[in-house]
Amino acid sequence: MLKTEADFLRYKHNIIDIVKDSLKIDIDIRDYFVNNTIYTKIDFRLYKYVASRLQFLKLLPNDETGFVLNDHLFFLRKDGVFFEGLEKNGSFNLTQSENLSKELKYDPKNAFSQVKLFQAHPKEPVYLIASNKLYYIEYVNNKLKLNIITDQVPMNEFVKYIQIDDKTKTIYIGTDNRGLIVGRPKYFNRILPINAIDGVSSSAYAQLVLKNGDIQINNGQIYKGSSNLSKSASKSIFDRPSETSTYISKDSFLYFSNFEGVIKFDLKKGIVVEKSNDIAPTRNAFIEFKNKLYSFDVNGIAIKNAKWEYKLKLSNMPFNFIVYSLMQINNNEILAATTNGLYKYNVKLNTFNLFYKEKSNANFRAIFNLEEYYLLGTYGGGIYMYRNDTIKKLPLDQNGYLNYTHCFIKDNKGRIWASTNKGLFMSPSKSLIDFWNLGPGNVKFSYFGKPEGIDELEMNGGCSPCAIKLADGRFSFPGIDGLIQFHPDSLPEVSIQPKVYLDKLILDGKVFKVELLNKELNASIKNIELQLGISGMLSQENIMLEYKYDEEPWVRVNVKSPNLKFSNPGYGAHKVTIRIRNTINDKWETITYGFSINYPWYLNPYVFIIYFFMSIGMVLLYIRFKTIIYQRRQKILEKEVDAKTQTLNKLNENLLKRNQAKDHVIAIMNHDILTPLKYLHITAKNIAETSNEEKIKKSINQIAKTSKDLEYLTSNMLNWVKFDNVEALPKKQDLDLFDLVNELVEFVEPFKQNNNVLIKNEVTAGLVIQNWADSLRVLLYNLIVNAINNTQSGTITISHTNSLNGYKIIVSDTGIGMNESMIQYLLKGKNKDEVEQIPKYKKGNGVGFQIIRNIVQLMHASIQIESQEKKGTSVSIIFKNY
Amino acid sequence: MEVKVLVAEDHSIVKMGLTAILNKLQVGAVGEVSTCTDLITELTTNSYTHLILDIILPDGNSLEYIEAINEKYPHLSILVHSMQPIDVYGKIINKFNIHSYLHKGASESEINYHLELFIKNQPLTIKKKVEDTGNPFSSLAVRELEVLHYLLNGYRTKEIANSLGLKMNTVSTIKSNIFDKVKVDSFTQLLQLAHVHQISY
Repeated sequence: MLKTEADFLRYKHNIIDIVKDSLKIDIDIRDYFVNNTIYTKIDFRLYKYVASRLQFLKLLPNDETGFVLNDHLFFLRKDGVFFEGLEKNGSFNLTQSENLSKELKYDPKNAFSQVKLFQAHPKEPVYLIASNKLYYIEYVNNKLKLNIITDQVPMNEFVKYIQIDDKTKTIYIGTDNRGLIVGRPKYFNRILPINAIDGVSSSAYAQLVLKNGDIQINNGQIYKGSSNLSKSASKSIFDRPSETSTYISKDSFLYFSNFEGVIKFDLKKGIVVEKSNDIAPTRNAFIEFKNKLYSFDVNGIAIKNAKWEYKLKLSNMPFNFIVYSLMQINNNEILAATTNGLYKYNVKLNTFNLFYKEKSNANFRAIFNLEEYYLLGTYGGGIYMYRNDTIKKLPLDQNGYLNYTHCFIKDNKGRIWASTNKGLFMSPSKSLIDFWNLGPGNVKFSYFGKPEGIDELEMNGGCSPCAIKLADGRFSFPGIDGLIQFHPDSLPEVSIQPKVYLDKLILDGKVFKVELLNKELNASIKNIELQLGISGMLSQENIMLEYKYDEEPWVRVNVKSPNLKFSNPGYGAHKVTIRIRNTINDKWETITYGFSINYPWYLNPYVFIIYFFMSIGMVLLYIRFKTIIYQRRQKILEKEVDAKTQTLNKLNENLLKRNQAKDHVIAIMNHDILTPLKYLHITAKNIAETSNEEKIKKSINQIAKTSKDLEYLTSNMLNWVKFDNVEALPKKQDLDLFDLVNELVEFVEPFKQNNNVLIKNEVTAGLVIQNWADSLRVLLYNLIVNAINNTQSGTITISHTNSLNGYKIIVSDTGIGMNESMIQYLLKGKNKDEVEQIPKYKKGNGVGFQIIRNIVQLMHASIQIESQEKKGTSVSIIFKNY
Repeated sequence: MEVKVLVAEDHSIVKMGLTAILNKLQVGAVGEVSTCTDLITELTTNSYTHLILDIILPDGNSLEYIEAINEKYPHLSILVHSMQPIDVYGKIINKFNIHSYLHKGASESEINYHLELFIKNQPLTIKKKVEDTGNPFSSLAVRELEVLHYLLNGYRTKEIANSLGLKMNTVSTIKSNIFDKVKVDSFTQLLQLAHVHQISY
């Protein structure tokens, strides 16, 4: 009893053991399991396996091939005659069951004409190849029945093996001479016109289904439509070509334009009912809006009443402006796909405005309504989605086929089909709506191209209608050479999960075993290339492949060349994660490859310790080096400083000596000049007063006056020296201003030029102010003497007033006054040569005001001079309380 | 009693001026000396009612003699007439029997008025308030001023002690006090400070 595969293998070994000694090397052994009995055909002999030994049953001289169906053992002869093998009464006989030689077109004259049978295992299906046909065999009602699978099997091949995948309906034919041949069902058909018109291209655009199910396109050609309906050609309705936009109204009139005008064709009666030239018959696009028919063309938007009338004239439209497609999007607006972008026509406001222009100026050509969304196909700009004044662009496929999208159509399962210049795409409606709401991450789609049976991939668009659904449920798309038709329900919904594996590892241009990735790679490697292999019976367009290097973002890989290249990957461990999915689902298959690149010796962690110590050594060395330099510099500097110090000391000593000499001079001037001068004046004055001789009296008086002047000058010189170069005054103290002024008035009495000058102290008696007594005395002394010098007769007044934040001491006179330049000179100490009028101040030597300015500055006070020539001068010293 | 005035002053023109003012005040007898030595001799030789005395004379500081003069000539009225700052030297009025201190920088009228009261033996009716000018030497006592004078003239401690009849330790203490009070560390600084504050020596 054979129940398991293991039992069978044991049995098989036994057979080989049994026959190995006596048989030739090129041995053909076939086994058949029937009702728990094993039959074995070894070359031309048929045996039965009984009690661990082979029992010879029958010679098969024609090398009949056995197969098992429904527990019946059959044999097929090469000419197509079938026999059933039956054991009866201990003998085994072959009984002819069917002769299918004719059906299988067996040609005895042709050496290659043979019928071949394939059964991988007694439980597996039985396939049969005869010429270019592939059948599978059924045993029904005690009869063998042939079912054709395909008539596309390559002929004259040495077929060894056949397998059919039920899910994908894919046929795998293993051959001795051509390797594996794969076949798929042909779901797409390209239809060529029945009535090819000379000189007219078979490039198809707007389709119209005729009464008998045939299709007539806008250039007049007729194509086979719904297969069962088109036994004979229909009457053509386009006796002349029309433009590519046609429209069937709700009341079954077909509207289109050609050079005869805008045509209205009654589809029920099959007659033209109107040829209008009320509006220009150009490339008109039509739409019904609130039971009114509108026409859009380059000249304007027209409405069909009794006649066609332009409702809105368009001007300054771009050259070759064409309206391809129209769609009502709400109660007021019509969306228009045009050569110049997407427009909106507001019927109520009668405005036609550009809503969106594609960045690459691609034409908008198709509008398709998907629930509350609108799919917009462009020629070169991909697919957009529109809803409520918002527009979004769908992601492109990896080859960019969707850049040129022509028509959309929805099938019974809610799938949207779109034609392009490179085949068809299908995407579930939900996936597209998810794109709108969730972003472009995982738009699901399937691509159908040549592997699926579309032999001419380029489709047409820019016409109305574009794709249409035929009565038998098939879709018909206009193509560059005929119509592409298919039934969407016939396509198997198989979601094959593609797989990716590492095919080759290339390091710096040399191929290595992929296992090398698990080892640490040499540090010198600069370029790593992973060549990937992809399995899964899918066209490349339906595979999405991405990779991620370490933690960088995912990168899309074109499946056509699935090679990942990494230049200068950096030292240490790296990770390449690769994921693959079928574009129709979102299930990623992920694999990760890790590799590690050795660090070069100089980046080894242990070497870093050496670096660390070396760095410290270098730093220490540097510090030592710098220290030596600094020490040397220090010594040099010290020497320089010593030299400078000596020089400075000498200078200082000299300065000190000079200062001492100066101080000594001052002391001498004070004691030995100032005092004698004062008493010279007193003495001379007394002598003059007592002298009777006028001449002597005059001379002595002159001596008295000169000695007074000299006393004043000396006194001022001393004050000048005293206050010059003084940085700050000592502390202020309380002083009686009235007393001070009185003292000064008395002191300056001898300076008066004559007795016509009155000096008045107008300071309030007993007024005490905070000031510097010594400095203020010198200051007022100079001011009063100046006033005396400039006053021949009149009054000199010293007064005090309070002012804002302080007080003023004013010395005013009724003397000769001074002009503005003199005032500026006194205030700022400008070069006296600049002062135009000097004679009035011939007594002045500038020392007086120099002292005044110095003291005022030291007191942080300010001077104000008001003067009028010939009227007098008022000098104010303004002190601030602080 | 006839007024006889002795003027002890080394500047002859000052003596002339003072004599002229005194003459104007009807003082006929005016004697003149120029040194401390001459002063003592003159007082011994002739009798005077009034003495106008400069502090710094060519042969010394007259302050040293005032106490002896006060003792020997108790009726001799003394007026100190000097260029020395009054805030520094004015304090001698209180220590000795002195009529008043007339600064040489005073105005002519003030001098006249002052001398008139002095001659008439009348007290100074209006005594000027001594202002604090911030002069560091103001804080020195009379004895310290005497020592200061010697220091500024370059005398050593021993010489000063001999001249003033003091012990060296006493002079050293006084010297130290002077340095502390005027806040100087060296003789050079002391000399500079004296010049700045117009202390004659």
